[in-house]
Amino acid sequence: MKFLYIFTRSAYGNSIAREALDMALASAAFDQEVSLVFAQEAIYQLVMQQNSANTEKKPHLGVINALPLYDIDDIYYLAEDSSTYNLPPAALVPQAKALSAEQFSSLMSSADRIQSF
Amino acid sequence: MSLSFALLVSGQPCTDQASLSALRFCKAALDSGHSVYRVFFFNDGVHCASRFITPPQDEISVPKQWQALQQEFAIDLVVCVSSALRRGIVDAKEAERYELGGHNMADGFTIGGLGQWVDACIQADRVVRFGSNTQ
Repeated sequence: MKFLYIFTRSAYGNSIAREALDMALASAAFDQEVSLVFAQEAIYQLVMQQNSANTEKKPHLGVINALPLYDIDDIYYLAEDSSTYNLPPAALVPQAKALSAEQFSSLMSSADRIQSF
Repeated sequence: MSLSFALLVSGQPCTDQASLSALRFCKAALDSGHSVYRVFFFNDGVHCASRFITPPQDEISVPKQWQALQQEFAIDLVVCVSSALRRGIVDAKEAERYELGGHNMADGFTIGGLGQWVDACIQADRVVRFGSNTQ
């Protein structure tokens, strides 16, 4: 089954970012096809230069970089957010790809289960 | 047409209207002849399972309402173990494992893993989440 997770929160401000990512990992562990879209502020979860030391939280990049190990290769951000938040592709983890609004919409149409966090 | 629902509750019972909305949705679905495959309490939603929640007498107790619904319809109320332990919601077994000296999970709820939510998403016809994104 195709699971699409749409995240909208940044990495450290709220526990939902991490816990929802764990849910996505669980879906992949149960052999589902998982796609992730890091929309709006969630694009910050993909920033390569992160330092969580002052937040006293585990580095979020650990999980982000582990995604391919769970066979999650469809990791996206929205091209529009990339310019809105002034985060060019080079600032983001290389496994994440840009989606146009049109591609995002067709990704949603093809998903069996959509959950947003 | 009769549908089965998987409900995700991620809002905590006092601050967020979400858990009450989930309760009402659940009742309405069951009253209309639909079924609820599972209710999964996740993130701050796990507080719905605390039997220590003690509102004033003229206010609704969310955990008691879930319990009543569980008794009437035998619905599966599963509390996410990782969300729950982080927030201090534990059953007798987890209390023993972590030597916590007490437990607070209300009867009628069970502790389970995220796999049970994934299973519910696969098995149910519809997946509905209750919990605001703005907290």
